Amino acid sequence: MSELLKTTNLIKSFGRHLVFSNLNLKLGEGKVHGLLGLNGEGKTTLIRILLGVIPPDAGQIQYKDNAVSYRSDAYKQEVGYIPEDPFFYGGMRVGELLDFNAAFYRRWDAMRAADLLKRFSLDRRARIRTLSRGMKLRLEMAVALAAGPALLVLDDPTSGLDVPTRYDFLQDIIRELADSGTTILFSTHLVHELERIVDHLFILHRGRLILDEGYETVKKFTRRVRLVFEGEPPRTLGVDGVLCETREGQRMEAVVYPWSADKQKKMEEFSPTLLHVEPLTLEQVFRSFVAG
Amino acid sequence: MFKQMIVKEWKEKIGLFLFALAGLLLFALAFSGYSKDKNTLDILATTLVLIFLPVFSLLLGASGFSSELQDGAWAYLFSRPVKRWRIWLAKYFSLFTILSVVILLFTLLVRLHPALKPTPDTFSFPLLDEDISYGILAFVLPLLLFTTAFSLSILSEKTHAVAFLAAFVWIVLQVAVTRGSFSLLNRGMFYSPFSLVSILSILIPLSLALASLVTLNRADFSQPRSRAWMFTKSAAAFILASVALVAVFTFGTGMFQRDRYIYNLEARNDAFYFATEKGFFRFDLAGGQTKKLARHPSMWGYMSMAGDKLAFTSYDYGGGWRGFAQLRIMSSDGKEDRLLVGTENQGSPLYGGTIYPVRISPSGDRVAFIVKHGPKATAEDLWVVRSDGSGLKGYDLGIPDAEYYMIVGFGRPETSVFVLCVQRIRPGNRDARMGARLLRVDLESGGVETLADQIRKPYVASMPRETWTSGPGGIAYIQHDEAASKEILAVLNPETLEIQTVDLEDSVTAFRWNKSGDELAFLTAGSRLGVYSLAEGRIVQVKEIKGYDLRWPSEALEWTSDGRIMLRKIEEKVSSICFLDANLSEQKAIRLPFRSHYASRIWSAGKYAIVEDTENHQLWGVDLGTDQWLRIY
Repeated sequence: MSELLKTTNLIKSFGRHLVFSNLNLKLGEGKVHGLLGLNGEGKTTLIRILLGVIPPDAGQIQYKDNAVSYRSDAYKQEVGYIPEDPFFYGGMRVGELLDFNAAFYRRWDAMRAADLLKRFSLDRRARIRTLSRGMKLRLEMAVALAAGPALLVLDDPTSGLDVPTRYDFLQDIIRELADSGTTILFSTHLVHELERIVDHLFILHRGRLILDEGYETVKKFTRRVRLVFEGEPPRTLGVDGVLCETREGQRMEAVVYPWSADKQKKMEEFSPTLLHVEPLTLEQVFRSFVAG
Repeated sequence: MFKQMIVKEWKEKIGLFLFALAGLLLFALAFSGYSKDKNTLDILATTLVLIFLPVFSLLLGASGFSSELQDGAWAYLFSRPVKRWRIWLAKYFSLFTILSVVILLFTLLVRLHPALKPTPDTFSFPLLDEDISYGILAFVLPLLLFTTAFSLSILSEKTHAVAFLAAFVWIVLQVAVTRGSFSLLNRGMFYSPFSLVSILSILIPLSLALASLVTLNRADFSQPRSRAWMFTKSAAAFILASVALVAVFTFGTGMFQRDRYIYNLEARNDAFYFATEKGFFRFDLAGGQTKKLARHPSMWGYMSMAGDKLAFTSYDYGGGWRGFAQLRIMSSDGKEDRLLVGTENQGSPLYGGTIYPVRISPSGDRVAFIVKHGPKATAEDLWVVRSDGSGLKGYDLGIPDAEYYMIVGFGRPETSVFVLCVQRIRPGNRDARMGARLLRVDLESGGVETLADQIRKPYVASMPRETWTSGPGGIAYIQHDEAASKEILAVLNPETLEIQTVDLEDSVTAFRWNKSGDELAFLTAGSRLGVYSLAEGRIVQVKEIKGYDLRWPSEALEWTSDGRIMLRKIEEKVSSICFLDANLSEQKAIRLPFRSHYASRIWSAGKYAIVEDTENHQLWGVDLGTDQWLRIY
């Protein structure tokens, strides 16, 4: 997989508060990347740095193997951005917003913009402030896509949308974009929704990336183990990669990553009366990673 | 991008624009409603220019980045592939177009509204009590306030808070600059503070604008405090740099230390007295030496001499930022300098006022002067005090809106004073068309009599001081003849109050008494030079002249001590002064020792003809016996 974007040792702090340090992240070309993290962990800050909107304290960003300077215009020509709160100049009409953005982008495709409006059932003459949140999201999407971005960054855009709209958005648009070769970085609170579209997962926690792995790998090698013992459970299971564990009487549960047959054998050495291994949903994976 | 940004800003600020439009409309209606009440018109005009336009400018500027700072929209805009300085510039320019349209509408209103018709160029503002052109207040002030508020708008989306902050910052910085600049007054740099205040008033908003540009370009907008800190640091740096730059120019190059003006005070047979911003000077004709008489900064050169006494107005800044006018008196050699009347005493009716022209009586016993612009609204404008400081008495001239005064002289005996006054031009003040008036004030009864009106520039001149008390004499002035639609020369006998008029085909543009006070030389709009004999009551000489430099005509004409007329001349870029014989034919020309693009003022004192180098603020005198030039100042 070739890398579209790569960060090296990014550091950002706000005053005395260190948001993250030595952050190394790679975005593979044409992939959908999920960026997960609890509130306040710095996802939006990371995205803004990647977009060249705010400066990092230190570190480097490379785009297509070229170092990108903060505020680089050429780089921004290739990056689309959809923020958490759909922001538009409220007084504008749909068509005016498109014209406003067309002035910024060299590769602006007016035909595509018109097609997208049609596809999203958006009226050029409609005032933006009269649009629903879902329609605004579509408009943002149309603006972002008409600029022909190689990288599309979405900062939790689906929060607050109803389920059918979210489903349409994710299933139809994001997947379609990824299939057409657009690299996507998707930050969301609605973790389960990524499950259907994500190729690669990042989990940002306590100032560092605690997970940077393909989703298939994560799905395959993250397991929950339920153990029941005759007496009290052991103090430790004696294996690496225990993300979290709970004890209740003679019962014990643990989430292990990466899971392997060797680890199962080691656990069996404690002679549990029951050892049950099961896969996890993405949401469960995320919760397990950040629980520790 | 600019086009889209302009459209966007206009759409966003349309409410503010409509507010301005509605305001102007209301003012237009109010002007119509109060078209006959000039005081209300004055207040309305002041409110419009000093409150409404500045407040609109502040609100408009303060709204600059408000829509971007709301809901993190800045991140959306900054993620677009466009340089931030272009965003700043596009926004500034967009809002500037709105401001320009409002100012254009304002200009149309004041130009076209019938109630404001008599005041096409200027009017007075009660708050400032000065004649200030629309240009400064209606264009420059809103622009500077708008720039200040726009620069600060990157700090917060709260428009009203930013507008208030901008007004506060503006006032604080203006006071600081004014106070700082005025401290230079006591160094004798009279005009420097005004220049510095003006320059810094422009440089400070420019500094704030640069600071906002730097902040926009470099600050992390997700951190309001760090953004504010960067703006504060940058603004402080740019303001300090501006102050340093101005200081370098002021103290390093002497640019603002130069005198801006040289005032002719008195040409006598033994000396020529003049003033600059740095003080009062006496050029001794016999010794060819210039001596400084008083270190007090002169107040526009207002000074009067009689015999051995010299009364003058000055300002005492006392180390503070506000100065107080003073009337002082000294001997003509600069000794025995003492305060005659001050304005610093809060109990005095003259408190805080500005002392305008001063005239000492021929006997030297009394000094008449005008006081205006004090915070105490006194009816008296003309004041007379004995030269020992006693017997201060005020006189109400009874002319509303009287503004510019000239004390022409004391009557004979010294129980009356002739005063020329000009009425303020302001909205609805149709009396201002009357032009300047010549008044006679009886110092005993306090009665005021108008001797002439419709007086035009160069207004009025009494005969030379030496002959004021003896010969027939008179007060000459140019009067507008409405029927003939021309300016005529008139001479008033101050004793009999008889008026002689000099009837010419064309308008008189300048006149000058000869040294003995019995003849008047005059220039006309048709380039004619004439001589009027007061004794004979007729024009004794008149001739069309060609090739002479008649710019600034009131300063282009002079008599020498031996009774010849002096004129300026420019031939093939060479300037000279020429002397005419009794037939008004050129007798002699002496080339000036300097080159000047401007018209030089000329005087005559004893054996010297004196010329001002207007560009370099120097005075040169030529000995008419030897034709040798001497730099006087």
